[in-house]
Amino acid sequence: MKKNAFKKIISTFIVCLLLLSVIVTPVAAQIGFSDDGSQVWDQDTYNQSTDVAATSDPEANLPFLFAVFATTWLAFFAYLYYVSQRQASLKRELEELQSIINGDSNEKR
Amino acid sequence: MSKSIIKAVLFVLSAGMMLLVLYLIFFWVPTERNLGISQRIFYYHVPMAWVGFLAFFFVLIGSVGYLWKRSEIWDQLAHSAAEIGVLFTTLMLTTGVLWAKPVWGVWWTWDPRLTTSLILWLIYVAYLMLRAYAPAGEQRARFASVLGIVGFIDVPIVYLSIVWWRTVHPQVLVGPVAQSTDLDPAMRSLLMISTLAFTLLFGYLLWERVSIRSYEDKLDSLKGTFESPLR
Repeated sequence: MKKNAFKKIISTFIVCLLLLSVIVTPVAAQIGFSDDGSQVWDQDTYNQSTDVAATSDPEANLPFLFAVFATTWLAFFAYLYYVSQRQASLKRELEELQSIINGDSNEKR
Repeated sequence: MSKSIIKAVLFVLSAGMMLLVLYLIFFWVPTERNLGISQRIFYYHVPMAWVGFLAFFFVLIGSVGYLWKRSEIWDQLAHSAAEIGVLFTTLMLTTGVLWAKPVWGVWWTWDPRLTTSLILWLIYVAYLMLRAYAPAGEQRARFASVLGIVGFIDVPIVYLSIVWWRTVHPQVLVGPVAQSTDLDPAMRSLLMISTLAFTLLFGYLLWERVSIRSYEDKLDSLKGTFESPLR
């Protein structure tokens, strides 16, 4: 009973958080701008870093590219592994339960 | 054609397309003049964002379907799509961060597009947490359906954030609010192929995940049958 009440409180809290986040999204999106609409962050820093990316060796950012592909493929394989393991264990559990139920019904007869 | 054959075809097709995309990214598409090699991240980052949006649209459909028909299959669809959507949105944010560092010089900035994307991710993480914590049964499905519908409001906000607010994020190059059409034809073609590959992968993952959810539900109902004589 207490466990259910706790779960309901957690659920209500999550619902409130979600509604709040939907409401604050347009407000949060304006962080980084002052009231007159100008950018708060330093535009020169952004321009400089873009210039660096433009003028340096085109292959200088290879580690970032490698990190993107490695992360993506690792995540895909990890998810596929999780899905296949879950499916296999569920099928096994289902068959065990089915056989127990069938065994019970045979005994009753 | 049986379901398993369709699933196998979908798997082979999506795996083949993903390999083709990898080949095209590294050996075919030209290198962007200003951003150099790091621009190639774009061919993974944009399709992942698209798949995230698509997955959350499926959550919306599943949620509306459940509230309307009260059928388990709609709830299974919404839950599965939310899980995959969170996976792709996480990857979209991660690849975005890895793109921002060499190009902007910072890992993260509170730009409207980035902020709204992070909020979108948090919304659907909260959705999954709700599914994990709420008491099992019809009430959980009903709660989740309402959140699935309300949470989708953030998707158009993320997409249109570039139009509505000033942003350092690159402009939208394809789609209804595209602001620039000067993308190289080869780059545009690869972006389309990559989007198709990721969409096929999403289709396969969704199919697998829905089938697992249906097994879980069958198992729960069998456990109920098994436990009821003991009460």
